[in-house]
Amino acid sequence: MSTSTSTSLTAPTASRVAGTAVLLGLTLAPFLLGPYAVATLSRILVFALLALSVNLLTGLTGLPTLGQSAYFGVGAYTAAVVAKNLTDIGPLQLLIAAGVSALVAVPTGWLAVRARGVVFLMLTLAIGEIVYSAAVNWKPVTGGTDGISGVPPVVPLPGTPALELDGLVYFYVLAVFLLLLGAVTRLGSTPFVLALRGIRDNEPRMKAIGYPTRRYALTVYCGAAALAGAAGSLWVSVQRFVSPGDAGFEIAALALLAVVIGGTGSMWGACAAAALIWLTRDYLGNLEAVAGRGPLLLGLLFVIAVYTLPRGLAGVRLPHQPSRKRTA
Amino acid sequence: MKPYFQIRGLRSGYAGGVVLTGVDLDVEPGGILAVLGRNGVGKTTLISTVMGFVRPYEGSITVDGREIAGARVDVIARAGVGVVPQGRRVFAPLTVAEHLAIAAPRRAAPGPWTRARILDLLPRLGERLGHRGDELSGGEQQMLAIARALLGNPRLLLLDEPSDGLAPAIVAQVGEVIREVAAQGMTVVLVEQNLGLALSVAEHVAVMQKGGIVHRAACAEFASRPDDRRRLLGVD
Repeated sequence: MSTSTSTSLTAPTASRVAGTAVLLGLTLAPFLLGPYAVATLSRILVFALLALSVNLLTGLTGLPTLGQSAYFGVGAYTAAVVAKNLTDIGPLQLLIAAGVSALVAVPTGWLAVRARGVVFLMLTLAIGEIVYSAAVNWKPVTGGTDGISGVPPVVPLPGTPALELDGLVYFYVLAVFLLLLGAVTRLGSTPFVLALRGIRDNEPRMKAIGYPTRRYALTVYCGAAALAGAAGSLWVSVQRFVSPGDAGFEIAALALLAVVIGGTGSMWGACAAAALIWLTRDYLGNLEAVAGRGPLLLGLLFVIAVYTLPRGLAGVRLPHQPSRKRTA
Repeated sequence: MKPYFQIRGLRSGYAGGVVLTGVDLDVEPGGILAVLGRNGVGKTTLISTVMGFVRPYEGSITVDGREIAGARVDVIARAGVGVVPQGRRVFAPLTVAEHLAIAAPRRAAPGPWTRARILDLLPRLGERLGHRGDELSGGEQQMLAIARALLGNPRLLLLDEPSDGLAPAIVAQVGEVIREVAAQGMTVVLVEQNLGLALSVAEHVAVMQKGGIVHRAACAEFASRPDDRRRLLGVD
């Protein structure tokens, strides 16, 4: 008879199998799903990137934020303006959008990282509201409440045709998503991220070791803003339209919710929760029986997640995974 | 000899209240000073003020002639002051290996304390490299807290009640580590309620009462005067 260890997958193997299956599913999706579902999947990937940026601040560094929609919006508007006036090459739009978002984050982040906890949360909320107001009122640039429409389709590389079909745009979004996810995941083992985790766990102790923690917080704040800006650029590539709502409070709240449900600090958890939230709101919420009740379903999802998954999706342990014990 | 660590007229406290009422201290280079006192006399406030966690109202704190009173915590740490806090305060979710990586910031002063040397001094940590901070025993956490402080290669090490909550055998190990560290030339200030540990490692003692230093003596002298110990600390 086989032992349990020989018949069951080890945790790393199970993770690899699950990761490969998800990647395969994402790659094959455009061949199996209709255009609406594929476009929804593109939006989920963009939203997952925004959730990752929130996770860099909230999950890794312990800075709960409601302001990432501001940098998402700055990135989206920047990409739209660049696409209409400068270039339709997607990666260029992405780089400029990320750069502008990071630049905007320098002064706003400088103010925000002086605070911690609820005060930081409120400051980021205020930053989000300021950007939202700017999007509404700065009509010559943002188009006001009408937003910017008629954004030309994205060109993935110079010399290649523009991507008109949802499935092709999806592959562009998927490629950028995987690239950025890989970059963020690789950060996980660097001394910089270790320092962020130390700041989250015990900031005074990190200072006592000699870390200028505020500088670290500002650096990750600007990095997270760049990531949110890149997500905003992809959003415009998918939607070919941007409006103030894309920089609004709801987007920020949903992204924070994704990090909470995913399990703070977990990159894959944030992505999975982002998908769950988007599907709940835009797919389940559109079913005939519950049409128009997307927010209610989201509320239910949050309550269920808090009660059944106190450590989020990332805290779910496979049956054979050993629990950690304190040594004698 | 010119003191390496000197405090003059230090007054500090919390929210306007005064805890330290004018502390004066001197520690020679490479010396070990034990600061003794009952609960609530201001020992931890003294450590917190030196490290910059509490801003002094007035007074001077110098390390190797450099004024650090009122400076930022990270600036004080980079000036060569390390601290082992009361209660260890290890990072619960980080492994021992991650603690050691995090504790040696790139710009830390070069010095004798490297990861390899730390693991040589504290071999138990080497066996626990993959364990998280909250999976360690109290003694292991204390060793980790000491390792974390040493990896910054401080020239002045402050230890706040390192024996707190530890079994006698572990306290003895902590004492050996402190002696070994001091033997390498590091100046040590040990705040302690465990008189046995303090007298076994320190060269001088300073006794605190009501926020000030009320008695100074060489350890051997203090050990030989039970009346002083009873009067100042309430122990034999």
